[in-house]
Amino acid sequence: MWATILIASLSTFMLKILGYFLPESLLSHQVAKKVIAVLPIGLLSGLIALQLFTTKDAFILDGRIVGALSALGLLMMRAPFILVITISALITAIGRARGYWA
Amino acid sequence: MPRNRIITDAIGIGVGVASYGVSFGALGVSSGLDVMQTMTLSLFMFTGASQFALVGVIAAGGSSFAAIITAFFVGIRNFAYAVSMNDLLRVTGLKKILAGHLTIDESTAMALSHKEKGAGPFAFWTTGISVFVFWNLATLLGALAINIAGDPQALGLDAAVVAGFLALLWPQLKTWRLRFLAVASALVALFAFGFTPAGTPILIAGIFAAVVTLGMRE
Repeated sequence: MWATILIASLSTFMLKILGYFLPESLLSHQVAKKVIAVLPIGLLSGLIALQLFTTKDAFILDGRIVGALSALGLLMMRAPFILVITISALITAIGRARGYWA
Repeated sequence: MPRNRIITDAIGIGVGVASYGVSFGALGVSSGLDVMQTMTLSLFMFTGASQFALVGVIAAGGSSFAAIITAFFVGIRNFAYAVSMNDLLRVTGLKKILAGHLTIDESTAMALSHKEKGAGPFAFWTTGISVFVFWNLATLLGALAINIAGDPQALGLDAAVVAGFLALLWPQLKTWRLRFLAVASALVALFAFGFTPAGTPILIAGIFAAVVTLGMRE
């Protein structure tokens, strides 16, 4: 686990540092611009889908869906970050305690 | 130069980020990292989305390789930020390394939003330092609190993580084309989940998004 943490930290740190040592012309390339803009969107979407619908080895539907939908609603209403997180956790937790969903 | 205003804003951003830091600390420990490992990420990786991504892949049972690569690609925007901050800050030597470490969403956004003479660099450093301090204190608080509080699922923390990722993603989906791309990437990841090793579906979704975008005409 330590190796994973240290290598990952070092590699993301190098990303930041590298930007201070390379010429800006490299980044003004259209392909680079596009990839940098959409890569996080694809990765985050994939991550959300897996966190929401899967366990380690199976598909699942549980209270997280309710939490995610409330988060989405709050984001559309431009609610602040802390509110989005707290309310979605709270709704999921209350429903679980009352046995509405798993 | 509105120094006081910048300092107030920087502290405000720090406090906002802290709420997120608490969730990260809690999530790190509930994903199987210890307090020291969780803190190491906040101190040395210091870029929230990559930290969440790394811990998310580990929690999903993904390999070290998948976790590292995902964190790296999620953090690639910091590289773009660094290039533009280098142009603004004009620092050398050790300060360059320090500036690099503090180059994140918040510090870059604050620096770019202050066009007054000399205010940009001041906004960068103040925000960077503020976020660093608040982020790390909050991580520690969250990591210690979850050690005491216990079952993360009963607290709805697994839903909070998804909500956190949604909150990170939402501001990036400015057009319908990007929203469609996000949904398509999510479907690709779920499809790949059926027959690829843990962690890789996320990478496949990222590559899918990049390839589709490059293939589309303006």
